[in-house]
Amino acid sequence: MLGKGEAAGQAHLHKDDDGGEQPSGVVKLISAEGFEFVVDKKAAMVSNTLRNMLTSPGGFSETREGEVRFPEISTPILEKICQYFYWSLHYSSGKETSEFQIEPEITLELMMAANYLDT
Amino acid sequence: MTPSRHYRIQSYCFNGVPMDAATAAGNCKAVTDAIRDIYAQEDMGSLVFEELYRCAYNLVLHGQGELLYTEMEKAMAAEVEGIRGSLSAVADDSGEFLQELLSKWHLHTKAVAAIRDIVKYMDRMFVVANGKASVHDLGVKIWRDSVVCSGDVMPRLVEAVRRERPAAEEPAGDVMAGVDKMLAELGDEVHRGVMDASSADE
Repeated sequence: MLGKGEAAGQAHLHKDDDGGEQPSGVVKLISAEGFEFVVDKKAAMVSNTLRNMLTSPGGFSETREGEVRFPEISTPILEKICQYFYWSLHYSSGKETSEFQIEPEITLELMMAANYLDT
Repeated sequence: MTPSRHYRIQSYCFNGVPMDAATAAGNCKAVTDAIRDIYAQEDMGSLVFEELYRCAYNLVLHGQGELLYTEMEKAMAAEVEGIRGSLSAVADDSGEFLQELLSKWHLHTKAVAAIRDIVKYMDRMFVVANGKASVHDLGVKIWRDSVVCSGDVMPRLVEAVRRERPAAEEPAGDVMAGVDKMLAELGDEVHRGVMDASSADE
């Protein structure tokens, strides 16, 4: 589940539908254990917290460096979140109709993260 | 009162352990220090959004929303008070005064936007649940009450607007258009007050 290839492979899957005024490029999300997920900015911005982080007028370090560390989100949870970002983009554009699967054992932790990320 | 599922999960997670006072104060300080940096526009690159957001988030989650709100309001008010002080040092040239007032207003609105993003969780949860003014509204209110409507700015503003106001047919210049927009954001009452006062004694 935690294979690096898997995460990196997922990152660039959907580069093609970069459209409109949405920012292009990618952003690196780093889990508590230091595992890095590279996702499209567009996908990351499914989370309102990440959207604010990456667009806030303050010129914060995240905006400059294009990476965000989450010392309180574990790797499996962050991976699930990244999957959700892409699922959500596809679902809202009508390309995806199946439900997003959540394993019961991570539900609570995932909900906490979702609350934090405003997703 | 039917507690939502949402809240039950939160209290389950934290087992009702409140945040200790030292941690709460530390988190608050991180946020208020950042507010100072944001207004000073210094050191911005060293501010880590995630850390600040997490400080604010944890405070609200552990029932310290009130503390965060008050400290944030104080920090913001102190910065705005500093701006008011700096405005009184501006020369008595009406154009220059309006320009300086506007540039500080833009600094303030930008800072408020950044602060709002950091304490978004408070805005979303604590502010709504407790019927407080949102960070944006608070920013407008502080600016209106302690800068524009203050005893040393208002008379100068009215006088400057009277002098810089374009003749009836002329389009407003950039500065006047900006001032007009600022006043409009501060609410009808202030807007009309300044405009009436500045045209009254011609």
